[in-house]
Amino acid sequence: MTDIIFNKQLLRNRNVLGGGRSLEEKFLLHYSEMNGKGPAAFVQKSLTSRDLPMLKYFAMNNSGDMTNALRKEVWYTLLNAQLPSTKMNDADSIKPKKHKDEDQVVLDVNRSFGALKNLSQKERLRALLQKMIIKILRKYPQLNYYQGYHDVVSVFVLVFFERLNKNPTFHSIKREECNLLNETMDTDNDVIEPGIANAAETCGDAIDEKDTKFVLDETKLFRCIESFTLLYLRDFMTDSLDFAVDQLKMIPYLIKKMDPELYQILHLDKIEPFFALSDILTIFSHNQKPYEDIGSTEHSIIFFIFDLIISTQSMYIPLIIYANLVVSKKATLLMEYDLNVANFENIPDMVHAIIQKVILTQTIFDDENCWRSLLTEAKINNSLIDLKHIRGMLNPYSVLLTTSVSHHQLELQVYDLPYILELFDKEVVLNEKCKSFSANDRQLFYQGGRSSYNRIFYFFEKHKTIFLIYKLSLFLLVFAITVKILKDGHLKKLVARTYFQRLHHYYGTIIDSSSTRKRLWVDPLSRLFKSAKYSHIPDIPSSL
Amino acid sequence: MNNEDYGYDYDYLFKIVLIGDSGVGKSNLLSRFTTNEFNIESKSTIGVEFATRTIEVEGKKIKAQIWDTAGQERYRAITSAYYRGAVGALIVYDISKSGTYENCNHWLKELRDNADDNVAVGLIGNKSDLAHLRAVPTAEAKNFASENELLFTETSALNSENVDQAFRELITAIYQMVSKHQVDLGDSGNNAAAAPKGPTISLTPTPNENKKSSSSNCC
Repeated sequence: MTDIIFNKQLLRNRNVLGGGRSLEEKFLLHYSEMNGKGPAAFVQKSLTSRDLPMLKYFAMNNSGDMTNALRKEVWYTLLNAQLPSTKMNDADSIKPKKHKDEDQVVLDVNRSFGALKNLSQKERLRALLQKMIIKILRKYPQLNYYQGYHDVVSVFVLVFFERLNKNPTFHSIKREECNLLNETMDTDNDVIEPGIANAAETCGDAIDEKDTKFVLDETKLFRCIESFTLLYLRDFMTDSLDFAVDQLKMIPYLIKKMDPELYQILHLDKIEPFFALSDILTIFSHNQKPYEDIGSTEHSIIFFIFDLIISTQSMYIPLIIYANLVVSKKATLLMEYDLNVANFENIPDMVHAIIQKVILTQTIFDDENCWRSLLTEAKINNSLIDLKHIRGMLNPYSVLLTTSVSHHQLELQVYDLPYILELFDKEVVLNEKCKSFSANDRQLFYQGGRSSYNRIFYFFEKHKTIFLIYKLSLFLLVFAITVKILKDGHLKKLVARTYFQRLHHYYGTIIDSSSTRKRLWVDPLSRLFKSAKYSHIPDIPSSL
Repeated sequence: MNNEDYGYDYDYLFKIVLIGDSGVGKSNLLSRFTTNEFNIESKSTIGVEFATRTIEVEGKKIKAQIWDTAGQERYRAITSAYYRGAVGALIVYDISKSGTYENCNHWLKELRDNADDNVAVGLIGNKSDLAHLRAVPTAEAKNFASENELLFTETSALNSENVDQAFRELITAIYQMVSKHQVDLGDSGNNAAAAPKGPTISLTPTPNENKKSSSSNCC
C-alpha cells in the first residue's frame, strides 16, 4: 500500500528534483533490493554508508514508512549533517546563567501534553521538554523564547521519547545530570517550579540504573533541537515577532499567485495575516488534536511535515501548506464569508474567524488523502519558489533566504555555527533598526532603503534586462573608443567637431514629415534652461 | 469554537478583549464563561483566539464576542491589533502573583493607546481559590480600579466563582452606555458591517456606530 503511494510520489517528483533521476533510480534499486526487509533495513544501510542524499530522498518521499524509532535516527543524521557539531557548540559550553525567559518556559511546559492520560509519562515528557528548552536558551542566551517554541520542541521530544519509553530502563537519568539540574535551579535562589522539582524527583527514583543508551539519545535529541532552532526558527527568536510577521506575509503572496480572486475577496492585500500565526510559529503542532496516549502520535501528520522540512531544508513548507489549505477550501470560505459578513466588528476579525473556522487543522489532518495531497503539493511548490521575487519581502538574513531556502539539489546544504550566529546577530541589529516600522514599511526598507548603494543594487537586481542594456551600451562605448584609438592613435578627435556644429544648427528644428516643411520644434526641457543658454527659443505655442 | 460563534440570533454584538500576563487564566475564564469548562492544563494561547456567548441583559440578547490573547510580551504588537472596535476589555491578573498585578498598569496603557477611547474596562483578580497564596490584597486592587474607573471583581475560573458575574457586569456596563447614547442620538443605526441581520436590524444601532458618535457627542 505504502509502496504504491510512494511510487506515485516518485513519479510526480521526477521532474521536480531536476537531475535526480539517477538518484531516483538508484533509490528504487536499493529499495527493491531491500524488499521484505522494510524501510528500517534501508535506512540502516544508508546510515552506515553515510549516504546522505539517499537518506534525504527517503525522508522526502517515504515518510509514511517511518516509525519514530527510525525517524529519530534520520532526523539526527540529517540535522547533524546540516549544522555539524563543533567544539564551540559542544554541550560543555552551556552557561549556567539563568536565561531571562525561563519563567515563561516553565509556564508553558506545565501546560504541555495536557491531554495525556498516563501521568508519569506526562511528567517525564515535561521534564525532558523543559530541560531541552532551558539548555538551548542557556547555551544561546541571545535567543529569545517565544510561546509556541515549546510546541515545536515537544515534537522532537515525542519522537525521541517513543523509543525510550519502550526501553525498560528509560527512567535512568544520570546522577550527574540530576545534580546539575538541581544545582542550576538552586543557584538562582528561585522557587523551584513543580516541573523541575518533578524532574529532579524522577531522577532520584531511578539513578541506580545506568543506561548509556538513554544519555546518548538525549544528546542526539539536543543536537536535533539545536540544529533545527538555529537553522529554521531563528527568525522567530529575535526581540520581537516582526520577522515572524514578515514570514506570514508570504501566505497572502502565495495565495495571490494561486488564486488572485480569493486573494481579493478575502482582502488579503489589506489585512495582516495574523490568523496564521499559531500554525506557522509552531509548524502546525499547536493546533493538532491533543493526544491521550503517546502511541496514537506515531503517525501524526506533524511528523511528516517535519520530515519534509528537514529533508528539503525549507521553511517554505509550512507557508505553502497553509496557503494551499486556504485555496483548497475556497468554496467553504466564500460561503462563510457571505454568512458572517455582518457578524464581526471589522473585516480583519471576520477573515481571521472564518479562516480559522474552515481551516481547523486538526480535522483536516485526520483526513489522510487530504494531507497526503497537501504534502505532495507542498513538495512541488517548494521547488518552484523563486527567490528573486521574494527578496525584498524578507530581511536579507532571514532563514527563508539563507539557511532554510528551498533547494533543488539533492546534496545536503551544510552550514557552520559561526556563520549562523553571525546571521542571527545581524537579524538582531536589523530588528532593532526596524522596530517602529509597520510590516509594509519594513518591506520597503528591505527593498533597498538601507543605503543608496543598496537601492541602486536592488534596482538592477529587480530589472536585470535593463542592466543588460547598460552593460551592452557600455561595452559598445569601450569598443568604439578602442577602435578609434587603434585607427587614429589618439583620442583627440573622438567626436568630430563638425558633428557638434551640425547638431547645433539643427537644434530646435525638425522636419515635419507631412508637409516636408521645416517647422519649429520646441524642446520641452527648454523652459527649464530658459534663463541660461536657450533663452532665444520662443515659448511653446499653445497650439502644440 | 462552537456554532453559536457564527449565529445571528442576537440584538447586539459586543466585541470584548481579554488581556493580561501569561498564565493568569485568561483562556480558562473564557472557557468557563462560554462553555462552563475548566482545564487546569489547557494549552498556552498562541496569538489570538475567540469564543462567544449570548446573554440577556434588560430583555435584549447580547452576543459577547470575546477575543482571548497571548500573554507573552512579544505578542503585544500582534494582539493589540485586535483591540480595534472592542467596546469592552478585561485586564486579568493572578491574585497569587504580584508581578501579574503590577503589570496591569502596562496593560491599561496598552489598551488606552490602541483601543477606542470609551472602551469599558474591567479588572479581574483571578485564581481567588488560591487564597492561601494570595499576594495581592483585594483592597489594593480595588483602589487601583476605582482610581482608573475600572470595574473590579475577584474570580476563580477553577470553581467558577464570580466568573459569570464579572462578564455580566462588563456587558451590562457596555449596554447601558450604548442604550444611553442610543436615546441621546435617536440613532437608527444601519451599519451593515456590524448590525445583526433579521427583524431587529432597523431598530438596533451597532455598538460600533454608537461608540463612534459618542466620542463627539458626550462626556
